[in-house]
Amino acid sequence: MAAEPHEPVNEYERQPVPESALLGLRNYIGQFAGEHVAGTELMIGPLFLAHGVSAFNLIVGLLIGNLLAVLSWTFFTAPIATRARLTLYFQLEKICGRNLVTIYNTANGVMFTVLAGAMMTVSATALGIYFRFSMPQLTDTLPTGIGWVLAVLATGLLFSVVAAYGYRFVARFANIAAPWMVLVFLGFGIIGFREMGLKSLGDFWHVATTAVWTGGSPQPGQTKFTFWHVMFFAWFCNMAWHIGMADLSVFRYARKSSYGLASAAGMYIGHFMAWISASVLYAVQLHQDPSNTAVLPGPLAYRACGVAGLLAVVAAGWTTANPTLYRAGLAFQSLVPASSRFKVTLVTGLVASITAIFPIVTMRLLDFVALWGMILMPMGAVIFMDFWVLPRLRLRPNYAEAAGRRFNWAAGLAWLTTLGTCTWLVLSGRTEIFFVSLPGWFITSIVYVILSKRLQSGGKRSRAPSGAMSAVIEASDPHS
Amino acid sequence: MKRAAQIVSFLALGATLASPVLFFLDQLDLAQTQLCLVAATLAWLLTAPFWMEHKA
Repeated sequence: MAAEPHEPVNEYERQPVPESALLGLRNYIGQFAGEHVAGTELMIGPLFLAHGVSAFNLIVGLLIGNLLAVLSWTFFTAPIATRARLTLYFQLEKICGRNLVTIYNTANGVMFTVLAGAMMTVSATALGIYFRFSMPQLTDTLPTGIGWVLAVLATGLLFSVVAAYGYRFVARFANIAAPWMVLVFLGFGIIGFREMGLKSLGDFWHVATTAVWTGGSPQPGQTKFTFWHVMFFAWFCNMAWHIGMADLSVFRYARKSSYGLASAAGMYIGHFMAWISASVLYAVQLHQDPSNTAVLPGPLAYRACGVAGLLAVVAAGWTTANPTLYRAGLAFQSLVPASSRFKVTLVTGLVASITAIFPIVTMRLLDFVALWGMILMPMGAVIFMDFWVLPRLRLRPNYAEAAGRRFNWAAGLAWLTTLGTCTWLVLSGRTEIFFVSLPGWFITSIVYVILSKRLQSGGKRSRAPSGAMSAVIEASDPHS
Repeated sequence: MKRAAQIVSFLALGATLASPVLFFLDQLDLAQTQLCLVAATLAWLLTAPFWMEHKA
């Protein structure tokens, strides 16, 4: 990221970023705008419609949810990133210890792998236009035939080899493709609205409410989406990055914490315009053939923009699967540091290709994204409380580092308790997966502070006199 | 060369935006729009690498 917007960060891994390496606002606007016009946007937009959302709930829900996401980057992630200037992994290692970070990396790597698989699925749907194999329907969970399996495996293999061999080539291609891709996504929306009968901007709301997002019954197997579903989904779909603090690694290069506002470029281009455009394409398909409920980005894009639309689908899937596979590879490689990044990325890509054969993840992408946020968010809450609250309670932040521990049980139990409680809340039907991360954040925060107090009060008696500990706390207090 | 590539690139981006707008305004039919879009796409992808990645 330091040199190129899409380059994963792999420098200053175990030290604060120096003043000389800080980056300006433009870098962040470019990075966010490019990264959030991804292949998966072409799935998410139509899935909102499949969930029977109304025009008001979609548009206002996205406006507010994306604003909350921008504010989360600005007030949760960036302030810590610009003070500590450490990667997420190093910050976590100081707080949680090496062993707990290893568990976190494994969870992170698995989620990245499955997401890369979803991007392969999206790109593979473009091949269906020319090879005419049977493609999955909205309710399909298993592969739909040998043609589908071969198309996904071919796409996955290509993506994996390129990610392992030529990460930089695709990163450069991603930079070049980004402006064109944004305009093609805008084209999807303009053409889609015209196909739905919109002839002047004055009729927008009438067409939107009566023809596109009528708020009717959801498709079979889908839950009904309200304003709250849309708002929370837009807010939490990148939860692992903002409230979960994964973007500490990105914002540690920012001159000011206000650069978190640059995330608005990604949210309102990718998670507003692109979702709405993709959603309109699905509305056109349902309008032309109500029995065709399949959410397949390739055919959707081809119907509107022809070959250019297909190229956009392949490019959007490829350019985002590439860094996703790379990040998954890095997460797994950290488990066995001596292993070759090339081999790890290749194996990760092959595993992602196998997951991509099964359309369940892609067809339930909204649930998967919410689940990802729920699993990784607790570590963000731990970092937040450790950085801002523990010093105020005269507790030692970065406890694992200070006490020389490889596993901070306060953080580990806070994570486990949150996952257990949230899973119970969802499985017992008390709340839906889209909302559960909100109470989850408070559960982690409270449990972590209570357990830290207990852990450190024991540690204080046995390890250092209270005066010495106070001096350590003063020295490490980020507010002092 | 770089300057020429830059001009073609910006024209291509303009065409990528303009063709859906012209379709919206009933000035192009869908087939013509899609043809313009693929031409603009090729023009962008072939010319942008000559100048976009050559910043110092």
